Amino acid sequence: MTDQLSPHLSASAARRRASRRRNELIFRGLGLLALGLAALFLFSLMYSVVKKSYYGFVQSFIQIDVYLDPAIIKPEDLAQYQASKGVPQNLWAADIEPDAKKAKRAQRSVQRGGSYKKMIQTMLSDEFAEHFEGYETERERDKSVAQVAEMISLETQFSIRDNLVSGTFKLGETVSIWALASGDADVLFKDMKRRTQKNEDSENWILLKQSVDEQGLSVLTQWRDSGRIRIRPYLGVPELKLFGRTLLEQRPGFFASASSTSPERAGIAAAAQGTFLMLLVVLVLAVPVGVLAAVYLEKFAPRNQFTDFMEININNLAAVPSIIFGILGAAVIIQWLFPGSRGFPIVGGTVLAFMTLPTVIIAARAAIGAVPPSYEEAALGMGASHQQSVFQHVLPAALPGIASGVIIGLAQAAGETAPLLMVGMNAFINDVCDAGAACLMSKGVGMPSQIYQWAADDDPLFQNKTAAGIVCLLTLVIAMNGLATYIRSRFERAN
Amino acid sequence: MSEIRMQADDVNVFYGENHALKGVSMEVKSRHVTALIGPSGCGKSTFLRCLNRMNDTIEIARIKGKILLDGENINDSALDITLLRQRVGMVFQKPNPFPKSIYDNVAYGPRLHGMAKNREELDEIVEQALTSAGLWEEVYDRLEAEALGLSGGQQQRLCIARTVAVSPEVILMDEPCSALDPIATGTVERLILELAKDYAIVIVTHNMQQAQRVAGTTAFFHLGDMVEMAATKDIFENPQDPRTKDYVAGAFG
Ligand SMILES: Nc1ncnc2c1ncn2[C@@H]1O[C@H](COP(=O)(O)OP(=O)(O)OP(=O)(O)O)[C@@H](O)[C@H]1O
Ligand SMILES: [Mg+2]
Repeated sequence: MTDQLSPHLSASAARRRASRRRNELIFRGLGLLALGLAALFLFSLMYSVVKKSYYGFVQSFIQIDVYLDPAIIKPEDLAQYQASKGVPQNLWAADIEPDAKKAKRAQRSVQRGGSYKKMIQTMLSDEFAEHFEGYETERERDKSVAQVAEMISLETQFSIRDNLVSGTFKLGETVSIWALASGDADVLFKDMKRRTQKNEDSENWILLKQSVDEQGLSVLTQWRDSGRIRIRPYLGVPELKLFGRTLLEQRPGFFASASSTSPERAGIAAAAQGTFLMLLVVLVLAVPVGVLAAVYLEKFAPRNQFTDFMEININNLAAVPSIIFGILGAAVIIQWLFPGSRGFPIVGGTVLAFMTLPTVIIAARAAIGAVPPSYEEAALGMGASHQQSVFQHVLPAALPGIASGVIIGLAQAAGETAPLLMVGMNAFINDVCDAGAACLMSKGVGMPSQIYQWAADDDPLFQNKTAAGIVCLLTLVIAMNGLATYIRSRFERAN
Repeated sequence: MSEIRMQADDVNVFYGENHALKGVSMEVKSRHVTALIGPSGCGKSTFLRCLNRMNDTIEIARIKGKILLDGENINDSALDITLLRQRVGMVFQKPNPFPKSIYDNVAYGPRLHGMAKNREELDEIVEQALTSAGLWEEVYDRLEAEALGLSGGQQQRLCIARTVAVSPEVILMDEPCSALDPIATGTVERLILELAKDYAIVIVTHNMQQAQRVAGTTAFFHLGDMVEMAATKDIFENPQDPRTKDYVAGAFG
């Protein structure tokens, strides 16, 4: 009676089943754990980058009232300068005769940053006279005032000048402006905001104490306590010109400014421009060559050892580390073909195009191979030549697949750093190029190498700008990949 | 009696080592439907594809023998293959319209070969082709609609219209109804009979009723041989070869 049971119901079989269930459970648990860990890493990375980037996008401003002293900038000089710049009218001399020699002197006087610095210093020493007391000599007092003036960014001086020249500000007025704080002050103010209590003992406060004295500190405290310090987004508007017409006026900020030695003035615009130009070069070089190579290999090339060899090489090329392409660019293009082209976006773009080429070829071949052969057969059956059937039917049907492959290749190229360093596209560029196509052949920088540059600076504000740059680059790459996925899914539904 | 349009003489086809077609000779008459029947893999499609040299697209295929179109050998290397395919059109097993509008599908061939001088002439050709494919009534008000939006049977008739629009002399059809339901099949069969008033038609089919309904002549293939070719009535009612007899009786295939 005991052994009449089915073998599946025996005790040992039950044990086997239990152990199998346990193993499967453990495996599932491990899988979930791995997934959770990956998600955690990704999340904490994103969280820390995004959080850090916030203070790269916002900056501190100080409200100041500046007297635009006609004794520092002479009205005649300003008028002469305005006339030479074609500004229509001005306050003091409605009918001034443009004079080349006078204009030159006027230019020197108006453009000199020192003039505006002096206005700010005068403002400080007048408005906060009771703070700057107890100095032995006038020189010591001036030094202390100058130290506080350093807390206001150079950008403010340029802004006052530009407003004067354009006629928005008038000489002799007192204007109340929100002045961009310098990097050091900015870090301090943000720190004050982060911790709401008075952080007299914070690290940054101690640091600050080394750059201003007692009296200076009391001015800053006064600003803080009277609510004259604000932290606001500083994004700016990049200039947009199309066919010589200005569509968007430039306003300084993170998206509108080039890099700078002062962290508060550093922006991503020049780097974004460099990356855009390079991607343009990639598009122009890699796409036609890659697509035609794919069409040839997939539809025209005879199957033989040579084409097999080419195919293997193309696949291998896709796996070559990008720094090697950088070396190729440095050695072949810069040292041999076009000496002196170091750092030009056209060179960086060419190197990235080489790098992207295998990706484009592989993606295009896959897309062409996925076109149903019936299209081609139908065309051939109606008397189209092989070439006609390929270019009129196969290629259009493969286009969405090719486009998504190209976009993924571009996204990959946009994020490459090593080749840019190899071809010298990590120079310090403090001006957004406005020479149109000629920008392809002037020293430039790309977004990844700009981020790399900022990351190497241990100034806390540069660290924030690094994170902000990373967020921009990530957004660009994710948007491009999203577009590629969208095109591909549309394409797959259509088939 | 209708005249002979195409004449195959001792045609052999090899796919690499595989001898797929063994010395087939046959005549294709104009204004007449010729059906090819036989078990799967016997070489019907292979033979059909010889008639407009579609086998050229298969790299491993080698074709031997003479096929005359109006007395001219189409296997001649000097022959313009696109001209041949204009004269010998093909309709495939699975409807394969281009992913374009209905109009553009039909207009593709005439445009390709410059058959219309202006838009009016092209419109004319398209309307005639769609009418002769029995599709005009159904689509005249949506010629710009996507061809892939049509039903399977409509798509197949569109493919026939597309072929007819090139004004071929011979139309080859490889199991044109195998993807269609009985009603659509009936429509296409009536269309074939209609087209047979103007064209020479060669049709491959697995459906013996279909062969009997549409074909004047039927050829039976078996393992690469053309076993027997005769008037359709004779093939089905009085087959000479025992293999034909077995096949039409449903013994194998
Ligand atoms: N492209 C090809 N490459 C290699 N061999 C092929 C190819 N096409 C057909 N063959 C071979 O040629 C022979 C005949 O095939 P074919 O397609 O002509 O048969 P069929 O009579 O049309 O069959 P079915 O009724 O199944 O369509 C078969 O043995 C097949 O394996
Ligand atoms: Mg077949």
